[in-house]
Amino acid sequence: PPLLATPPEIIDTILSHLSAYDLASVSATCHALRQHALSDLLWQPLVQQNVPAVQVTSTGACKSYRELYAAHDRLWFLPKYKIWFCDRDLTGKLILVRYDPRRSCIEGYQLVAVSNQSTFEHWSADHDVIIHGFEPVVRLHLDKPVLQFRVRDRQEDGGFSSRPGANRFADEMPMVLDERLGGMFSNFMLTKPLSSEEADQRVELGYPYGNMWPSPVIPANHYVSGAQTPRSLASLTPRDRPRTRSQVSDQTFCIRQWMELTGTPGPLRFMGQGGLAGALQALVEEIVEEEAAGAGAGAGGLGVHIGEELITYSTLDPALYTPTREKPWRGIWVGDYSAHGCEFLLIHQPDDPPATDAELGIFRDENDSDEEWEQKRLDARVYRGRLEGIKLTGDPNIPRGEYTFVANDLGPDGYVRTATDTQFSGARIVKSEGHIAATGFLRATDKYIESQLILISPNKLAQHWVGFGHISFLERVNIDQLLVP
Amino acid sequence: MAEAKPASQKIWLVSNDNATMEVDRAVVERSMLLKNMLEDLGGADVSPENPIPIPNVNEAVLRKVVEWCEHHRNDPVAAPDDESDARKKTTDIEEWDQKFMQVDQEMLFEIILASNFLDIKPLLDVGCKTVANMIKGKSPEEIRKTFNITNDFSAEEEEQIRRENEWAEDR
Repeated sequence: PPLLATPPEIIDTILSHLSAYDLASVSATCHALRQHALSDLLWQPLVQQNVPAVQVTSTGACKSYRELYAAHDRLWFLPKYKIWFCDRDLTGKLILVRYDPRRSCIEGYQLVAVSNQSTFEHWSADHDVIIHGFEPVVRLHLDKPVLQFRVRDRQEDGGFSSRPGANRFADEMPMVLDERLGGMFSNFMLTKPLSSEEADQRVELGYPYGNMWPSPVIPANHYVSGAQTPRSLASLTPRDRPRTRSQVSDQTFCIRQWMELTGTPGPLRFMGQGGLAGALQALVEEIVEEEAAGAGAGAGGLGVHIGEELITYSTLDPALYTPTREKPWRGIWVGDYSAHGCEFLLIHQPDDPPATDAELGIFRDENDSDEEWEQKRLDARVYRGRLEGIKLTGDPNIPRGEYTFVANDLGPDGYVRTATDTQFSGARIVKSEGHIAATGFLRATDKYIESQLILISPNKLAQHWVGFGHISFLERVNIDQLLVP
Repeated sequence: MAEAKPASQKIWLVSNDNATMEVDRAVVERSMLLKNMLEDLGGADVSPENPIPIPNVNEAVLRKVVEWCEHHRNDPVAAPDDESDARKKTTDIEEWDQKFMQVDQEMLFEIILASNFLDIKPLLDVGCKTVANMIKGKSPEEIRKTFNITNDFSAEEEEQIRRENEWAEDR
């Protein structure tokens, strides 16, 4: 057969175009092709393409790259998309998932930010306006992983074929977290996207969009069904679970977490926000629902579940947060929300249609040097189009997944002035609208108020909340440096 | 040798079954092997009576390869190894190339071998992607059938491989 007669290096090139699953099939055809399909040369890139932040140069805790790939199959999309934010409460949470090549471990940690700077000064351009100082320190909360997958974890779970009805995509995967507080359990679940009709219907409902995640404000390829209360957990299975690889979303996942009491109640501090009363209430609900929900596979199914939560995470298309020459503010940012603390946002700059210089209203002055003219052309494109601040984490007023402010046009239509005061000298100031609401983000209380966006630099912005008389800062977060273990 | 080499300069090639064909130099230069050879020779000595021999490649295959080079004569030269793994993984093939590759398997592999020998990387790439697409999504048995491969595993080996590949099953 011509394929087997082909020189080995060409067979390797052919196989380099295949997925891990196709390679597995090739390895089961005959001895000659098996030799090729097992090669680390083919499997190393399959691992590497999922961990953009680190260089994978060893197989770590595994014997081969193939074994390593197989060990974390179904999970590689987590370090690949690295930034994950969830619908837990109104605040949400942002986690970074990274890969530690030495331990062959996939881990997710919460990103936290604190500003130590609590000073404020008056704005020299308007003495009634107060500028809040902002010096955020952004780090990963390494003491307590949210996600953790070691190579050996799932080799011990008995294998899928042994259990009737088992499905590797639908079944929950128990996580053995390093810092498991007494009786805390976390199961990882893959998710299945809603059809676009289902998603549209939920958008129609308005906030909270039928517990759809991410919120429709976040640009996403697809959306999934989340659930906020233990009561709705039962309604989630099994129609919403993926059962084949092609049904699995690589943009979302869920974590089901709960606390278990074995015999005597645990100390109060583990009882969650509801305190003892809340815990007892949850306990009663659980006893009622335990049977209806069916056995939720996983570690220790015997105890009583308390404070059970289903938390849904989603990610962002990297193009959304990768700055370009003409859209330099794109990125993940941290903003100052005074009493609420620091919150993370996506600065979203949607693409604009291409336009000629004339369409942008600029003309070359006869005195313009080539350099000046090029700068003019670039400026006309940089100061153009819309800039949206979208909360990835939120607060009880404006929750995660909602706009915090929107500047409709960075160009001539939105232009207010160029700052001449000492604090912001030279910065372009554009019209913007700040989003506010009563506590709880109750419907009909939210509105947009006049604000101004101060474009200080590609790494720093400020929002002037005109009605409130204060200016607060936003800073770009360097995600990549946090991804190297 | 600093001599003018208009794109329309003619070059003559001869296949291993003695068919001579006249080709524009610009087309021939899609082959890095021939391009370098012509630069060394200056191309002056090549004539219908003294064509460049292409061993290992027969007339039918050489005509196919020349047809591809004709169509792609104005393609920009790809920067070497600029393409990342991400690009390598895609098996997208432009429409004309897809049609071009609709040949029997014998011919497909002959084209791959010829493009490898002649060092025409983009054509080799298209050929390899075409074969990869013939493998994609198929079961081991379907792959064997497609490429006329005999299963030479023992029953024990089959069982071992099945267990080893269990993680990749789609269920």
